[in-house]
Amino acid sequence: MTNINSVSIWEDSLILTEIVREDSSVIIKKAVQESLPIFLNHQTIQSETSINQLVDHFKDFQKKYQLDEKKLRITIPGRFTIIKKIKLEKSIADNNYIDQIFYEFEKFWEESSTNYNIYVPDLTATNTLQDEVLAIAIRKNVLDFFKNIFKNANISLELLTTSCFTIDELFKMLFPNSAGQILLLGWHHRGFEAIIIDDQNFINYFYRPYNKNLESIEKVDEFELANGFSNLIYNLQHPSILAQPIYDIQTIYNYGYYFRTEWLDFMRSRVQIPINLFNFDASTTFKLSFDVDHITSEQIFKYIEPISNVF
Amino acid sequence: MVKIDFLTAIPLDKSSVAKTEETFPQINQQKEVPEIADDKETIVEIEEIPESITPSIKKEKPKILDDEEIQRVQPKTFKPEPKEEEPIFETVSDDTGYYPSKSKKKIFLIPLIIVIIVAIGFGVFQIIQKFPISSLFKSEKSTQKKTAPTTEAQGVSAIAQPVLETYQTNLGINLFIQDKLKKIISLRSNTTRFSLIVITPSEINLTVVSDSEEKISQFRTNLTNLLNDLNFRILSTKSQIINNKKMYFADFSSKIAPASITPYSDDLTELKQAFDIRAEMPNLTKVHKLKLDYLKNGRTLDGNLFQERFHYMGVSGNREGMINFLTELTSSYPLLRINKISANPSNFVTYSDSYVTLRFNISYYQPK
Repeated sequence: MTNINSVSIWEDSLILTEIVREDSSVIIKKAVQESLPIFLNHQTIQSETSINQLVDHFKDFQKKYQLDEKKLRITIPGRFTIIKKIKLEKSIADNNYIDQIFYEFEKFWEESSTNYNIYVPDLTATNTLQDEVLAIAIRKNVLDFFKNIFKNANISLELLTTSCFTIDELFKMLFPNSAGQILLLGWHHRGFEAIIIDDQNFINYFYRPYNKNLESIEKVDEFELANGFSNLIYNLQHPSILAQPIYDIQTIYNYGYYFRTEWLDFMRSRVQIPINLFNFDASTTFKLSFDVDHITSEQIFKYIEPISNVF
Repeated sequence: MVKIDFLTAIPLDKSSVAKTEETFPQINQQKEVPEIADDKETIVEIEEIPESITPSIKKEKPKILDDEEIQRVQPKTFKPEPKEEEPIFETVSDDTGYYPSKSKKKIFLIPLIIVIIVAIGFGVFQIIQKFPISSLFKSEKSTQKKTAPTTEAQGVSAIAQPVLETYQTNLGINLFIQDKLKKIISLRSNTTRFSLIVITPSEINLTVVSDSEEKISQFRTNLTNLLNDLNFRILSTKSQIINNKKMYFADFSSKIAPASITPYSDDLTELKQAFDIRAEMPNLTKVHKLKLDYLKNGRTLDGNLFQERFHYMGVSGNREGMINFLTELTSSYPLLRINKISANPSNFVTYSDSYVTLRFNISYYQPK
């Protein structure tokens, strides 16, 4: 039996879950959402005042949820990183692919390339002949920020990763027989997170604000949300001035703390693609039970991000 | 599935890319290269220590021999050079049936020595100039004929047809790429610029940047009009804030029909033949006042006729020098095939394309 605490952090909020897992049995013992005292952006993560505020917040958080001596698994959103697929040329010798990967990222840098770390998780010594690799770049100061916050708050970290990958992994575990391209659509405080996958691969990741004013979801009415959704899908399927669609999305699964099930109606009225909630219901892989009163199995989509990091 | 843990994952380390500053070994021919005003050393990255370069060769103007003299001395004087420096075209074989008898040797000793010296000089000249002895045996008509490769039927031991076809294909591809790249970069607009141009023998991919999607559409129309044998499609667009201004990037792509690349049909004898790429490329970039950023060895593939050695290199410098360099590279080296060329201005943010970077993936076809 394993007891795992997982926290998903966004710009202005976090979700904590405590899960007990034993084989195919998953018990949710804790699931909470909280706002952060500051908005995380490029300026605030470098401000000492902001960092101190967050350290104090996480110290209180630790006491409030009795996280002493428990290691935390953390996810950060994909939009804090640059995710890119890179085609490796087979003619290049094994020990020189690094140069090509750095080159491919060059046009994405907004500051000196020395300020970024690049990771290529599936590029192993025995697998360098693959055509395409997925590379992730992240600012060093973003990583240092998260590491330092938890270190100064005396919270041990067990894992720090990007939620788009853990969500992809969870989906494939829950629905191993799904076919075609899937859009995992996250509804967050200020925008959509779109993760496109198929049964084999992680295909792409996007983040799109709900409207042009970058307003939070509370300030956006349903009509505007519906427009934002249909624009997102249309642009993915039929991007402007493109000669042909890039993706062929077969099914959409919704998740995210801010999503409301009644929105499924306007979503289904806007697009012809089958639309579902990202819940465990249809899965036979795991049996889910709850040790908390305020959520049910139909609402698990709200906590998918931290849950996805415990498998 | 993608698994990453930023706590334990090791990021790629750019400094681990082998970087060695080295001045390439000087060969005698380099003396003929015009000196560059800026005598800054060429900096390159290499994977291996270059193999020994063929010893210096004194270039002499050949003495013109008559047919009789040539037939007499040729069998004894020609010796194949080391493989890397071997001329493309085979010379006349030793199996001519003509050797002077032992008794006559003394009588012919002195003139023979003179003839041997002349012949050695001539043989060396062949290597340098890639000028086969066999061409002297050709009739006026056959030397003027540009299209057909020389064959045994024409009375000379010539390069095998499949090998020659490979060289012609190489040049055809190289010249095609050169032509397309020159046309593409000639399409200049104040509002839309290239941020990346990638050309391979099978497709062309372009990334353009502009401040509106309409301008990108217009640019595509202009591009299609310019290169009407290609069909550019816009594959993706994305916006990005650059210098507080929203800019749009669009990826164009066009497939290249194999039939649109025609093999080179002119005579190859005047072109550069076997050479050491690690000596040649630094020289060539220096001639055109460019910086050779790196030159690396890739994999080697063994074929029936050739060993295909992949190399990739990065060259940067001014636009004019780059065009001249590209022209020479694509039209003078039948043993080279460009597999991919990527061009990008060094500072696309400011729309300046006066200083550009070219990255090459090339194959050197080493005959077996």
